[in-house]
Amino acid sequence: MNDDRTLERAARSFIEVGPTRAPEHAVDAALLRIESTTQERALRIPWRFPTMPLPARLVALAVVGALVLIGLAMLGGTVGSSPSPVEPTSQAIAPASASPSPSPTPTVVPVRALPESGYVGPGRYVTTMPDAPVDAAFTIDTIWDSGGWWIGNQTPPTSISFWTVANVYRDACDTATLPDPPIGPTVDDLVAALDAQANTDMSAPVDVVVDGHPGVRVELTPSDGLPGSCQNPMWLFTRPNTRNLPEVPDDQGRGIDREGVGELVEPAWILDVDGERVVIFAYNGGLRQAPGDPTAAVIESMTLTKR
Amino acid sequence: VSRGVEVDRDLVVGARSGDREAFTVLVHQVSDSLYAVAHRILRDPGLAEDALQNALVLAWRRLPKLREPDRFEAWIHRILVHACYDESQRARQWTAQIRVLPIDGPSTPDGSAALADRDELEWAFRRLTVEQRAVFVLHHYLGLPLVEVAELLEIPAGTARSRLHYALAGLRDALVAEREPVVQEGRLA
Repeated sequence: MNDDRTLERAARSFIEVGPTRAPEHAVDAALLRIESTTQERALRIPWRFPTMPLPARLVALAVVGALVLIGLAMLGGTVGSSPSPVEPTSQAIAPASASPSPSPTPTVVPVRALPESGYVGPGRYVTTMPDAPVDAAFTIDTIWDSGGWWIGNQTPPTSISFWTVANVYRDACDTATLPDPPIGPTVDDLVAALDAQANTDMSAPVDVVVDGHPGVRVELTPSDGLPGSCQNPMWLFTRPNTRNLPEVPDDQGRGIDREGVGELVEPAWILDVDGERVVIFAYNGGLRQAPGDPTAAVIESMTLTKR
Repeated sequence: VSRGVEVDRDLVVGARSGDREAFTVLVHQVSDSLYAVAHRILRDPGLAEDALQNALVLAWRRLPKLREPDRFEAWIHRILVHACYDESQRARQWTAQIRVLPIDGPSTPDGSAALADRDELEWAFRRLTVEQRAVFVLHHYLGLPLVEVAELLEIPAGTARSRLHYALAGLRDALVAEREPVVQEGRLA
């Protein structure tokens, strides 16, 4: 028997000794904290949603539609007076893409805060960008699942999510590789970092303007020949503790799941909203954005307001 | 997890859907095992308690993201190990590792061949990195094969093997250093 085996045996015996029961007060304290802790929704899989049966969707659509009509009726009756106590979070603003119209009576669209969970029906919603003083309002005309800072659908698999980027992985297949110092704050900084990211192919940036805010649109896709172990190539991640996200860097990131093999493209809108860089991912089932893509209409309807 | 406890899959599914009572039962099922692992990695009851608490709270928050309920035990142990990393880092920021070595020479003629006593091993074990300790504890205490340790920690199998190798080498070096004669009255390690 060599020395190393003796040492290994001694070390194994050593770690056998020690407590085997958790102190009650520690467990109680954890349970107490859990009582006031809400669960997070899935972050990296907003394009995977529980199936909502068609009848249920129709019922939900009818209910939501009725509520919208009631809300509009109530709002119509209260414009110019005190806010409705029924919908304290609603506000009234003009839609983003409203074009000059000869209509003598301007349309007032109620805007609701995007709920942290659950399904939302047709209407206009507003969400606050994670960790940035920017509000994003948008219009949807069908039922979507909501996570508070993202909306998504299962059929077809689509999602739109809002991100404030802290850094970009140097290698999409290795979340331990980070540029040090982190990337700079501008749109160009982020584009350059994504372009340089190993195991990711980025399309040529296309200049875009959303609600008057300049930026670029790029499409990210995993490079050819990715190792089989790299099932979740990751593009970037948000700042720690943003919206109580878990403190595990991998889980604050945005990437793509290669499980359902397809084209696996994810369009990203990288915008400068009055000095704040924000990123909107518009996932369209892993396909390139095309006419009729439901995410395009949502982006088009968007207003971005720095508070 | 070889040395872990059996958890009820239905409880995991229920807790994942937001059932706090189900999660409370789960907590009581896994806490002992988690604490035992945390204590052995961190070598400190206070830090181990903090790691346990943080891991349980984080597990509750992240549970909706768990895709495979059957993997709950490995999943929560992974969260625990990360919590241990955090606690270790926090502890390093506030404490200085100071130890006065004895002035006597080696206690045995052949230090590397003889069984080290518990104090020596404790000292040597604390000299390892927390990542090395985690692999050592998961492999030797929890009884996980290295491949499963690597999966649990989401590191390449080669990295897990390397950490275990360097853990043993580190223990050996620390024990040898511990037993070398020190001529001065004491020194800071």
